[in-house]
Amino acid sequence: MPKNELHPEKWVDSYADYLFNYAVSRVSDSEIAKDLVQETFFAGLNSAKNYKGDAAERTWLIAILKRKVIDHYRKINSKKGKAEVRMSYVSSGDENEGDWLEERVADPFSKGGDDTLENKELGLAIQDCLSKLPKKQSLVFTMKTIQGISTEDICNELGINPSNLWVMIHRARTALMGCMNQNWF
Amino acid sequence: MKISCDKAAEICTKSQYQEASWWQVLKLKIHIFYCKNCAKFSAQNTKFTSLCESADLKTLDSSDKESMKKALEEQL
Repeated sequence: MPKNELHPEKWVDSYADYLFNYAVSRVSDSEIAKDLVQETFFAGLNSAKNYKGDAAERTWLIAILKRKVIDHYRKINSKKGKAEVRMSYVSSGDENEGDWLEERVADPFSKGGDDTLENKELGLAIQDCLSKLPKKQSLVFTMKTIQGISTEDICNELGINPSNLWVMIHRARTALMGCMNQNWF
Repeated sequence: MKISCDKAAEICTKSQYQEASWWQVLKLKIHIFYCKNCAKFSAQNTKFTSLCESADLKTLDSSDKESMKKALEEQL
């Protein structure tokens, strides 16, 4: 079995979005998530000598990121009183009225409790498939579908014409559907 | 009124981003009516669009990525 190697110079292009989506799904704050991704890359560099090549590069980085997420929660929890139990009772002015935070957050129309969890996994599955596409295809797909940039702007930025763009989007979508087919369709 | 399967696929993909004209969409609908392959593809394509929406995907800005790259390069 060939040993995996680290290529830190390609980390940002190859894994930043995947790690970012993972982090956002865990901390629900894109600024914090961004910092965690950056810290993960630094930590990866610092411990590169410990990398044995058993795991794929991305798996290894995700493992570091998981530690970073745990550290993040430890940090914010240590700021609170240690014995304090946080009851998030939101008063709406009237003394006897109010909502528990959970009740406010919960979506009564949600089809099931697993919805958000499933969506997190779905996001990572799409990112995973996206990373297997040719670079230009995944770039065009990302700009169009995820960032919602207009066809005209994408064409200007990448110096392609609209029919090129649609061919690339079409190929990307077909490949993504094929990649996701087993689990999600 | 008749269009090829390739053309149908192209319109179908465009319509996922609301960038197909109603005339094109009409031609697509007629094509789908008699072409089972394209009907299947179209249904999958639409499902994929809703999957992408519910996944609420996020990406880092290219400026954020650039600054990450620079920070990493300094450490290398």
